[in-house]
Amino acid sequence: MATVPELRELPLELRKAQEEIEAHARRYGLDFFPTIFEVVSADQLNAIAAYGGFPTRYPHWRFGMEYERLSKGYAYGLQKIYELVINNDPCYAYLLASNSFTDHKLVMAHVYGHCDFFKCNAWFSQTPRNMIDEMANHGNRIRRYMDRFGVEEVENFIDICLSIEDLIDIHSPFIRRGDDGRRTDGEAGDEPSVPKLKASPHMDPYINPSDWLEAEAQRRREEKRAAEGRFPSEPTKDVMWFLLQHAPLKSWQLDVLSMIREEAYYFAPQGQTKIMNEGWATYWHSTIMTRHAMTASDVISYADHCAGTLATSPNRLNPYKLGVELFRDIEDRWNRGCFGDEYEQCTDRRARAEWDRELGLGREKIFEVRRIHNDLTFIDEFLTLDFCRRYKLFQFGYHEDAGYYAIESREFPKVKQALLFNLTNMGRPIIRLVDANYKNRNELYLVHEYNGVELKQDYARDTLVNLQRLWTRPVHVETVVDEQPTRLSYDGHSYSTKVVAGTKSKSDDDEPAD
Amino acid sequence: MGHWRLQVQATGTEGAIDAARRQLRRQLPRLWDVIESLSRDRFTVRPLTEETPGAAAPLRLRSA
Repeated sequence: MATVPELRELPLELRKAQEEIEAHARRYGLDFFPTIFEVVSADQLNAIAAYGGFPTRYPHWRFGMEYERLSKGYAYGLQKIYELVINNDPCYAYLLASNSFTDHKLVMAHVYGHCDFFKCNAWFSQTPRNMIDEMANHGNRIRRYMDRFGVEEVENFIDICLSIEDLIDIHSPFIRRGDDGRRTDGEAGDEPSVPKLKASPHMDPYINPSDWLEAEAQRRREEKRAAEGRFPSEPTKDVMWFLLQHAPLKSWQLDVLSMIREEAYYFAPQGQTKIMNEGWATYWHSTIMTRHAMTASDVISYADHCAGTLATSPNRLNPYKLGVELFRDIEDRWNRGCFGDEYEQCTDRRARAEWDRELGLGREKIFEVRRIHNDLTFIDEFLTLDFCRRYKLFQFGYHEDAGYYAIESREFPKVKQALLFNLTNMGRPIIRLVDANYKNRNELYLVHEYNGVELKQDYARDTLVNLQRLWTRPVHVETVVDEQPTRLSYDGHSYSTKVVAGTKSKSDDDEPAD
Repeated sequence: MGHWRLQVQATGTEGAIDAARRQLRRQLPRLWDVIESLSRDRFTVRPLTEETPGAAAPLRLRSA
């Protein structure tokens, strides 16, 4: 694997281009951390990309495998990484040395879009901004453990941790949960209080009726009693956190698990905002290049590479294309005032097409959208029927009988639903830990929220095996197999599947009906 | 940003510029902010006459 380079100063020509593009970006209102560009060879860029964009990571076989994949893809002309940028303060971005000057300018403008998004989008607000240092620290710590406990031992443990890295709660950085997974023994005698609404004394009996207050207090008492018998008291998606608190692991193992979890949370917003992030960066490279940074001699090269980036294919969603077109559509709609009740209730297609209230709110709106949305809410809120028609979006699926992919629907609700479905929880299955003392035998019980897509059986099996190694007691996951509620279990020796009558998510009485 | 020629209906120069701005914004939605910020002296208004290129009477189909 190629070594990752030391930082060098940019050549004068590129430095001038950077200063010019940065000034344009600031003039448009982009807000970003200081950005440092580095020119690297294709081999070096592949090495950095294999490390997820970081110059230093912990040693692990999968980085080498990824490097081989990227290198071969580049050597065979199948793929080429144009740019790479890291969410960090300062942001680090890499330019491919073999690129033309036009490409460098395009990449710089694109990178400033990403840097603004990293800094200003709410979903990135809780990510550590010193991740380069953090990653280097993780590398040092894991190398130390490898020296002490052996490479194979530590690498095998990392493999186990990585197999459950999706079992995190991507919303947890923003929500204070009622139960953080820690065991609490006290407070048993505390009566749950019912907060009263503010009211003047003469209105109080009407606004806070005593019978309602008593009923609510009773409900809360029962809820608390039920919770005291459960462990954890509420189902949790952050299985990694729960294991960190309760699994019987050695201190070095806990440290490795915490590092993998920290990195999983760092990368999660990038998975949640892929369409928006790429769309935003493309919007800004397009605006800056076509209005300012491009010269006559750049036009053909720029158009050629833009066309390549924004090309759509029938069987793949291009996040760059969808993202940028949605941002442009939002800008146009808010410029013309195509929103609100009056517009929504207008059924005259011609009137809608020519609608223009001359509001000019487009730019302001897209900055607002970039600040608060993620891909799921972005699509949910702004993918309209008109947009779907204009870009001829369709839903497709694999037809087993025919043996090929085919269009299943062009209906707007189905297309939108399919998109939202793929974006929910970043396309990963939603799994909750509901009981860590299943049948009072200290066994883990997880429930997969079935929404029409079954778990891949081989993946589920391997993950259960790894989970059992961490928990050291039998583990179960309740899911649906062949449309029947099924419990998959691994007890440390054998793997089994059982059809279950009642589900743990709905009922505590859960004797299996074999 | 190049040159653009439009035909609009208006009663005076000011009205013609406003109408041209509206029409340009509709035709080039990505340049809304640029068109909006163009000063009035960037527009050249010429009354439509028989001699104006493209201002001739509408073509009529001739029947055989």
